[in-house]
Amino acid sequence: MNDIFRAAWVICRRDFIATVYSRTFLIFLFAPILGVGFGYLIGQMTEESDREMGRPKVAIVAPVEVTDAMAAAHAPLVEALSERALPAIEPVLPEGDAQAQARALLASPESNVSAVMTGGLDRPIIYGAADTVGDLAKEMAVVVEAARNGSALQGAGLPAQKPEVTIVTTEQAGGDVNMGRHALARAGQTIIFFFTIILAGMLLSNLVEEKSSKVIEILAAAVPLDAVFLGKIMAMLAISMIGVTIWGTLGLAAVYLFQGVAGWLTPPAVGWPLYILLLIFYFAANYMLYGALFVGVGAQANSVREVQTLSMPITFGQLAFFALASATVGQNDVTMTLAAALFPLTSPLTMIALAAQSPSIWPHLLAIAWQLVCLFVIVRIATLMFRTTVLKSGKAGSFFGPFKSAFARK
Amino acid sequence: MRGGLAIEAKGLFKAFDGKTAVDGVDIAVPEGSIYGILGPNGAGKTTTIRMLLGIIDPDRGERTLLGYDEPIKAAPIVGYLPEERGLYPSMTTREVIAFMGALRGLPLEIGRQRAEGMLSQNGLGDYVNKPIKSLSKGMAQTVQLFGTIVHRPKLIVLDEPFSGLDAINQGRLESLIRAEAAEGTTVIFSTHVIAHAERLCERIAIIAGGRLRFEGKVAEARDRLRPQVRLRTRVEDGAWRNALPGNAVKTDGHFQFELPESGIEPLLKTLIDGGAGIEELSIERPGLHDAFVAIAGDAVAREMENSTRVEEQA
Repeated sequence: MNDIFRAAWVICRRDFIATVYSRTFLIFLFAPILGVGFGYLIGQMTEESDREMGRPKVAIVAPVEVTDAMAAAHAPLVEALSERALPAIEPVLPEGDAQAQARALLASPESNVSAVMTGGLDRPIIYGAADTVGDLAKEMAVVVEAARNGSALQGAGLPAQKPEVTIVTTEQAGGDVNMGRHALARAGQTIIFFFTIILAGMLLSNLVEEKSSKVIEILAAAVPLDAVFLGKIMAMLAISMIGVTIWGTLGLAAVYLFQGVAGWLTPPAVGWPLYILLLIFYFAANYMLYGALFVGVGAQANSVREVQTLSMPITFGQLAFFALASATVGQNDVTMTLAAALFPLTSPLTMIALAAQSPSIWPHLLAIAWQLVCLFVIVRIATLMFRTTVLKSGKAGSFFGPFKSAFARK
Repeated sequence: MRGGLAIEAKGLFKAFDGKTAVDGVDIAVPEGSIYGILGPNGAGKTTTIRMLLGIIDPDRGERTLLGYDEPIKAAPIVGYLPEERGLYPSMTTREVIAFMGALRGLPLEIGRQRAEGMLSQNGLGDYVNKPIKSLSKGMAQTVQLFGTIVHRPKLIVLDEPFSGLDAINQGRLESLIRAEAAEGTTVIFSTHVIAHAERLCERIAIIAGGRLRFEGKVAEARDRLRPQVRLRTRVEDGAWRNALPGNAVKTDGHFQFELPESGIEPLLKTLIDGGAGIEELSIERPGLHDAFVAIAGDAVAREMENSTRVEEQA
């Protein structure tokens, strides 16, 4: 092992042990699990009320036979299209002037309606706020039409009957496979992004301890600075892998318990084994690329407060890059996909999406090589910046210098 | 290695934000010697050391460390104790020492064994598994010193090593430095306390205001001043008084003057022949402090003394 990697290993091992053997590491491991658990519980508790609150309600001011016909038409439509596709309806008996009653209902917060329909099935009139009434009118027109058909059949003495559709199953449906792979592409991106955003942030403050405790002077005198940066990133990657393994295992167990493991996921284009390998690699690459950037930026900070100030714009940057990589999913725009694959901070996200959608393997080999080159470049830039701005060394040194000597034969 | 020099630096120059910190410093440290860099606080000693070790690069000038033009390549055989001490507070003493050795290429297991030995031999055996944060400042400084030498370097660089130590620990450190040098290790340290350099060093560099005022053997520095003669005679006056140098002054019944170029023998003969009645005569070699004052000037010497006083009060 040459000097730079040996030194990086020494620093990596120290950082890893110092972090994993600390009490706070348990909090780090279990905080996301507790967070997800609490989130799930609160979600369950609020889901019902959210469903009701989040769905607009239309009052039908009409005689009982009309409201019954509307309700009879509304129920099967909601069943087929989902609750959110149509507004809820509420029957209201007419009381004199229909227009005045409609306006009174809309004016009263207690009635909790977004629109009021009068005029029955023959000449429906819908009242509501200007910004929502247009959409509600279109949706209610579907219900009114179904109610009219139902009434017409009833008037002719015919039973309302759903047409019978014969089902013939096939091995696969191309459209479904594409949709599934798009979903998998986004899922892979989201997993990598999510783990990177919650883990890589720690790297921002990673050199603050060394700077505040003056250990950086000892490190800088003993080993090349590249080894310091590399060792820290490697340690944080190893620590993150512990987290990812534990959280991933628990997540899969939860999925197994709640949904079963039957084919609810479309297989990725490159196949599951390679996809999982690529998912691990691209997570590591994404983490190290952001990590190198974060260590470099964080190294410029002199205190935890400065690190905190830096973290928000950096998080926004991460979100923007995630959005760019997400935009490539299912796109035929080769230029955009290529640009996202080449840009180091979107490359792993773009490539994991490609692994879900395209069976070609060679782009991944190129991408892996490219991402390693980018990692080298970012670490070198971070090191040179640290030398010039923090250590105030006049000469930053050669860009390839330490690596030349690292790979030189002894 | 060139000509048996552990460190060779020529024309080192460094400025920070346009302000010159070190201006044209030349240093030559022979292998196996104890070398001191003297100067008041802010003189440029630490910047010089950091340039020698490659922590920062000089704006101009060259330096060679144990034969390497790139100091980082010599790192496995160099030990460095920075002025601003720093250790990971949560690590145990043994692990810190082993880690510092591992940074310089010493296998961890050997580092741990040596750490235990060093700690035990120095009365810190009970602290082997204690975290650094539980130690006193002096103890932590000792642990850091052990971490500096655990890999048995050929060159030890200590930046203000005596600072913050009590008299007993200063004595121990002096012994340790002598012991290391006796084994052939080169030791270079910076200090603003002349006495340490006088007791330990064969060669010194005097730096003030970023500039090198003197570089050479301690004896050479002292030889810049003539030895002082103190004379007491039984007879107050006589023809023999004409033989005393013109700069002779009389205080407390003693004549005091620089040793004449011609030596003491001609003067003695004149005094005896003239019946001066010599009661007491001594020739004193000037100390390094006097030499320092002569080389760097009164103002710099006072600055050094003030630095020492402030530190003692702290």
